Amino acid sequence: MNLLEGNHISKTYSRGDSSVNALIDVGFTLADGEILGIVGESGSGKSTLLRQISGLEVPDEGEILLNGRPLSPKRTREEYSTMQMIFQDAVGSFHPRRTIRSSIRETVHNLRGRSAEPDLESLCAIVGLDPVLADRYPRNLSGGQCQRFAIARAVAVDPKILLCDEVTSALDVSSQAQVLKLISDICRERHMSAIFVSHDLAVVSTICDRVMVMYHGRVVEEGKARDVIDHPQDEYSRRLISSVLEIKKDESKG
Amino acid sequence: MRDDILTVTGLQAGYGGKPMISDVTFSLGRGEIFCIVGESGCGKSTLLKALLGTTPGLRITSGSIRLEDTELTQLPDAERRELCTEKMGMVFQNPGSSFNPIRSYKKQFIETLKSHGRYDKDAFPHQVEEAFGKLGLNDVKRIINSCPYEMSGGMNQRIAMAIMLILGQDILLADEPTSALDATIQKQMAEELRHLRDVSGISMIIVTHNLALAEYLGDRIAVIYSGHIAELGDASEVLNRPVHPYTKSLIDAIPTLDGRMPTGLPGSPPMTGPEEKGCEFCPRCPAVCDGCDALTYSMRDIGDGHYVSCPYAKGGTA
Repeated sequence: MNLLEGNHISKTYSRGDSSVNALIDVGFTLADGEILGIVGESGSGKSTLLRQISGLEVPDEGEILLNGRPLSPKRTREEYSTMQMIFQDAVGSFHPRRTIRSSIRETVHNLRGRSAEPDLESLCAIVGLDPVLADRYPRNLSGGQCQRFAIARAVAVDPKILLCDEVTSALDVSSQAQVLKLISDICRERHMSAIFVSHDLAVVSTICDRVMVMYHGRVVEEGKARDVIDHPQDEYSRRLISSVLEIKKDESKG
Repeated sequence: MRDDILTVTGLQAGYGGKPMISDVTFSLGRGEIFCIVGESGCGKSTLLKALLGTTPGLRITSGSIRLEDTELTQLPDAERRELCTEKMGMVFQNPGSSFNPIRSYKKQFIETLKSHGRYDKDAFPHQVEEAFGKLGLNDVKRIINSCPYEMSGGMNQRIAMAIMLILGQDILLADEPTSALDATIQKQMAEELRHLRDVSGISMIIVTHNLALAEYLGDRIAVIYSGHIAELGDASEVLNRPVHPYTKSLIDAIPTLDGRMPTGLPGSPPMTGPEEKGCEFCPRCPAVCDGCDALTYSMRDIGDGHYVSCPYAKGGTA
């Protein structure tokens, strides 16, 4: 049985006389311990799908099943803590006038009850940060440090699934590599699953087991990451792959 | 012989007396695309702002910036600002925020031209058509009457460049011009920037943390760390045969389609700017040795215009 499954999910946004079909009959599966990548350009529906899965929005049609049981539109605390979202704008995902420690405590209190206290020392060890940094405000940390604390906050409630929305897009190349390795290690060591949304196929190829390619609200291709990257079947997947810029490294020197 | 439009020598600049860039030396050829790469906080954007000279509080403390025949550092502030904005235009990371989102491009173009004393009502439609043509933008009438909020990020970026072409500026300074765009649009934008250079002869300084983009787009590249240039040279040469341990580590941190997990760099760069003594990269350097913490910064030529600051790094043709 799949850990998470979505069937025939559709979502339309309307404004005045105009409407946009953001998701059209989308289906997906996520196995226990698996990392699923969702790739596509802006407007392809990948972040919209993540918002339906996380419960931030309710789909117009379709169902989302967790361990075979449909998730209701109004999620319970347990359901919320099973899936934790990590956003692109790590600094903006924290309260600007609270320390990181206070923000993480608030999340744990909301989802695990007032008596639960996060073990900041252990969380900082997991994400490789000095616990002293947890007493700073988000504006006093770099983007990479904030993203690590966002991962620590997600891990603090011991979720089964991480929902990662363009988590490395705002980071420079070295912070990006650190965060990718961190998410991969956490998923492997804690036997967690993840859905990893990105517009960059090279980023997805480093940590995902399977890849789903979305275009204009539909899934156009899906399969094992290596198969989709090495032998893309859809024209749009081929275009995405050809848009990846890579350095032509000279292995014989340097 | 190179025809340089801009020559920077031993430049030091910073805020409140603390230098954030130091000993920066490079030149920009006419029609050349020069890329500046490095991590966040390493001084790339500070260097760009120091060249433009319009950022309050950012002071040049030593060195020289020569724009064609004029030494900019010797000019009074107001005169320097006037000359710089006449010759150089800046394109920002978030093109949407460099425009008023709810005011038509036409009104904003006219406003900008008037502020430069260059508005000619009769010539304006032709100027717009010519600039949009160079950028491959059709449907001029519809676009110029639209508002920035109605356009995509890529489109706003192109339109920001159009105003530079109308003003006839010689140097385009761009701060992370593609990092807010999708991967597919990034490559397209890089192609358009090269095309723009080819048709207009404009020179460009592009700041980016995307090394693959720098190789694709740039003629030459400077890798900067903690306010010092670590390596400088032909873009393909530096990125295909890197010599400085920092450049090598940055390249190893780039994710690739082969699925290899990038090794990355431990820790983060110091945000304190350049030090007077000792290599700033020491604490993170995989090739650190005994003499590194006592080094005095200097660049050495290793052949074919390839320069490196690390005296222990091996490579090059010299």
